[in-house]
Parts: sequence; C-alpha cells; structure tokens
Amino acid sequence: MSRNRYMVPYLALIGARLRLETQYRAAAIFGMCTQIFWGLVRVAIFTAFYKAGTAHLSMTLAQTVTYLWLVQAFIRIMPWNVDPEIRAMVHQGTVVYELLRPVDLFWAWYIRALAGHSIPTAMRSAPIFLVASLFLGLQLPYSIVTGFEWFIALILAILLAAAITTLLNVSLLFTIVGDGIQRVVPAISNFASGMLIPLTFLPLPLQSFIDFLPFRDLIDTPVRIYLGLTTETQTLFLYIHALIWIALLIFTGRSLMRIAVSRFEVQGG
Amino acid sequence: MTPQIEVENLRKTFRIAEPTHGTLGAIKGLVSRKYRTHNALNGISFSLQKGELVGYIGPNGAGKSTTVKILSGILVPESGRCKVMGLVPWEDRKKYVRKIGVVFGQRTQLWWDLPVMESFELLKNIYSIPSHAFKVRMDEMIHLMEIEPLLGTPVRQLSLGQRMRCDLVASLLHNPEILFLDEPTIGLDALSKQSLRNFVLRINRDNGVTVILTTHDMDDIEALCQRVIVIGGGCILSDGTLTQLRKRVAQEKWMIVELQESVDFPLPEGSRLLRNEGKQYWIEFDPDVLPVTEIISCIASRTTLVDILIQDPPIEEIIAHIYREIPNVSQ
Repeated sequence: MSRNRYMVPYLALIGARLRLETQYRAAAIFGMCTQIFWGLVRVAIFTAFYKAGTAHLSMTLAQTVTYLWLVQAFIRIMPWNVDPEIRAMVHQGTVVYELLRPVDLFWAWYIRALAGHSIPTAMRSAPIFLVASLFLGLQLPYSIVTGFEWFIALILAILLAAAITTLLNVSLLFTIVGDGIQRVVPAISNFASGMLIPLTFLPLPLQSFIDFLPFRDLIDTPVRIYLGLTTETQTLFLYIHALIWIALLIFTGRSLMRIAVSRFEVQGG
Repeated sequence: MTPQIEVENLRKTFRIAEPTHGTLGAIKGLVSRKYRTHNALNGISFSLQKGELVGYIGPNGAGKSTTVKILSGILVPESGRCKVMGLVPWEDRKKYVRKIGVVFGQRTQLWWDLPVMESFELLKNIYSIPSHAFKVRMDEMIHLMEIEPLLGTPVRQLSLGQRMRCDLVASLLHNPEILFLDEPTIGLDALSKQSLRNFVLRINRDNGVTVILTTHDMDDIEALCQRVIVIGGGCILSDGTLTQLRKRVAQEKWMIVELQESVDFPLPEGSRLLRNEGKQYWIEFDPDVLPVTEIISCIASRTTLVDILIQDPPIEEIIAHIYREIPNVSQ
C-alpha cells in the first residue's frame, strides 16, 4: 500500500472535523468578539502598570501589548478540554466503533486533536491578528527571520497541544467521567503557558520550574521568538524542548492507549 | 473445508465494583472498594462455515454481546482460542476489521451531526474503498434499502428505523465477509423489521456473507436463521437447527380448537389445557403418546368442532423453557 493511500483514512478524519467546525459560524464570530474584548481589558491593565512606573520590566510596553494580542489571537491552541465527542463516545459506549475501524486508534485520535486545534486556530487567529495589528497596537514580527521561526514554533505548539489533548482523551478510557483532569489541566496550562501573565514577569525561581514544563511552548515560546527576544541558539533550544515534550507525551499516550485497549470493558447491550 | 470462524474454550471475566449502600457506604467506597468477578463467558466453543446465517440467542447478560465483541476484535478474552479467516481478531485488529461489518442495534456508527451521505463518504475514505467499487455498492444498497431520500438528512434527525437501515448499509460498504448484528431489530416497528430481515437474507444468500445475529426477537430467528446457538450463564446450551432445538426440549405439539360453544370437556391422559379464550382452546399434547384422534373424539363427544389447528409450540416457549434450565454459574 502506498504511503499516500495509507494516509487517506486519517485525512478523512480531518475533513470530518472541518465540516463540523464550519457548522458553528455564530460561535466563531462571537468567540472572536469575546477575545478582542478581553484583549482590550488586559491591554488596559498592563498599560496602567507601565504608567505607574514600576521599575525594570523585562519587556517594553509595546512588546507586552503585542504579547497580549498574540495570546488572544492564538488562544484556540490551548489544550483546555477533552474532546467532547470522545467524552460522549466513552460515556455512551460508541467508542467500540472506533476499534472497528482499520486505523491505529491512537494516531486517529491524535490527528483528530490536531484538526481540533489547528482548524479553529487558523479560523480565529487571522481576523484577530488583522484587527489587532491595524488598530490595537499589535506589532509585526521583529524580522522576517523571526517571523519564519515563529511560524515553526506555532506548528510545534499545535503538535504539542494535540499531544496534550490526546493524552487527556486517553485518560477518559480509565476514568470514564474525567471531570477532575478536565479542571486541573486547564488551570495549570493557563498559568504555565503564559496565557494569564507573560512568563517573563513571574518571579525567577518559579520561572525556571515553568521553563521545564511543556506548557510554555504553547504560547510563551512562539511569542518570545516573534518579538525577537531569543538568540538563534535559544530558539533552537526551545524547539528541541518542545520536540522532546511532544515525543514524551505521544509515547505516554500511546502506551496508555495500549493498556486501555487491552483491558477494555464495554458495559451492557 | 476449514471453518471460517473457530472459537475454542473462550473465557472472559469482568471485574465489577461492588456497590456500597448509603452515604456511609459511599464514603467507605472511596477508600477501599470491593470487587466481584462476573464470568461473562465460561468456555465457549463453536465453529462456523462461510455463508452460514446463525442466530445467537440467550437471556440478558448471557454473554451474547461479549462474544460478538471478542469476535469483532474489541475485547480481549482471558483465555481460549479464536481464529476468524485465519486471523486472531484482537491481535490482527487493523487487518481483521477490514473484513468484517458490525452493527450494534443500540449504538450508531454514523456521525451524529453529518448528513448520512457524508458519513458514507467518510467510511469510504477510512476503509480506502476505491471510488468505482464504492459507487456500485452504494447504488445497489440504496436501491435495496430504499434510503435514497435519507441521504441528505443529518443522522440525528432520522427515526430509529431509518437510522438502522443506514447503519446496516454503512457496515457493508467495504464488502465484509462476515457481518455481526447485535440486536439489530431492537425497538423497530414491524415494517422496518421485515425490510431489515429481507435485506439480511439477501446479502447472505446473494453475496455469501456470513451473518451472526444476536436478538431477543424470536421472529428474527424464525425468519432468518438456519442454525441457532443458545447461550446462558456464559455457556453454550444448545447448538443446532430450529427443528433440533425443538426436539431437544419437547416433543409436545399444540392443538388449537374452536368449538361451537364454550363447554367443559374431559381431556385424555397425556394432554393438558394451556389456555382458553371464549370458544378457543389451546391444548398441549405429545403425539408419540397420544394420537390426535383421541383428543378430537373426546371433544366431539361434548360439542361440535368448528376449527382445528395443530402446530409446534411457538419458538418463544421453547427458548423460555431452555432459559429456565440455565444453571446459575455466573458467580
């Protein structure tokens, strides 16, 4: 079987996602408005801090404003949730049909998560990016090179987010309800990714711990590269940091999936 | 000819958390939980030839669905051997599932929010079905199942009968050699059941697809199955044709008579009155012991016979009889 043909089933899964995602246009438009509104609030707060003249901040106001708008534009990268459809499938037992398909279940779910992050991100980010860069103080990338490097970091961020989401989805096979994980992981990832406060503003000891975690590569790393705050070696190091976490999370997810499938129990009818 | 499906001594147990009682029990359950094991399958063995149409029946919780799920590669059994078309379902899952179709009557495999046709297209891609083969197959099945008008409708808007027809088509798109149907007629109206049965018969007869069907509807069994496997308490209780099944349980036949007027009449030794509704009487007797004429003359001595019908007891009775004999071995 040629490689191309091997990919077809997985591409079909992305297609299904795209069709679902585009069904909810109203949600997309209002989601965008919400993000712009929150962006304005957060920009106002940080501007107030800068105006108050607090000593040495590691970014200029213009950089911080750009940071905040990039967060708003690419917020859909964040792995906030298990896939509600998978959750429903596990709950209702239709998840058995997933095993009846001639595909590797882990990769099928990973691709699904990839589509679930990349399609909404692409759809939401462009308009916000445009509006914010024209009217709201979002600067363009530091240079063409950093722009290019930023794009690579974004792709890594999406691969990483999909790996986290897939791991969350796989965990459903063990807990069935998964409410606990659903609350804890977003709380940690919001904070440790830089989504709430740019990571550079955190106290140093905390920063070095957060630097170790994967979450910063979702938001903080791409933005830092975008702003030209990293040297080329640092950029390379950040890529490797993300890649190692992606590999680790995928490996863990796959192993857990294998265990889950071998002890599958389907209750009733 | 080597059998298409070979199952030998299949066992499966589930671990079930013992429910605790009351609030205190619930708190205790947080710390330590008691489990009990439930033997869903207690050593099942059978084999099937290609092209057979087999009914797999048993009371609720007998292990029907568990068997189907093991045979379709979803569940892994504790022990036992299982070879289907030369493959071990749960080990060669990806390769294996291309050759089988499965319908679970209570769960749909179609995408809830998408129109039916888009679900079919997705399945076409997932199974890598060549476009030409897909088109030929679709045309054939759309015609047979009369689902043409449904193709543009999102699945969530279909009635149960419509959805089941579409589900059945979906399970056959990739031209499987074996079709597993787990309670396909559950909740369907008479007409939908009929069209489903006709369709299953056709694909079994015309395309040589092996069909394994679990059901609680004995009409399904009577209409479709050449062979019936009865399972209870995780064991096979009976395996054979319907006629053999009947013979095993009882030689009795039923005589239904309609009389001119409702009267009491003496019944000869070896027969008994089952039911009486107005002028109609149901009498059970063993033809080997008691000739029909003897019963008739007994009745005729009291009143005039208007109508008489002799038949086998309905299959429900036979099955209920077998179920009652199931030893309780599940604990």
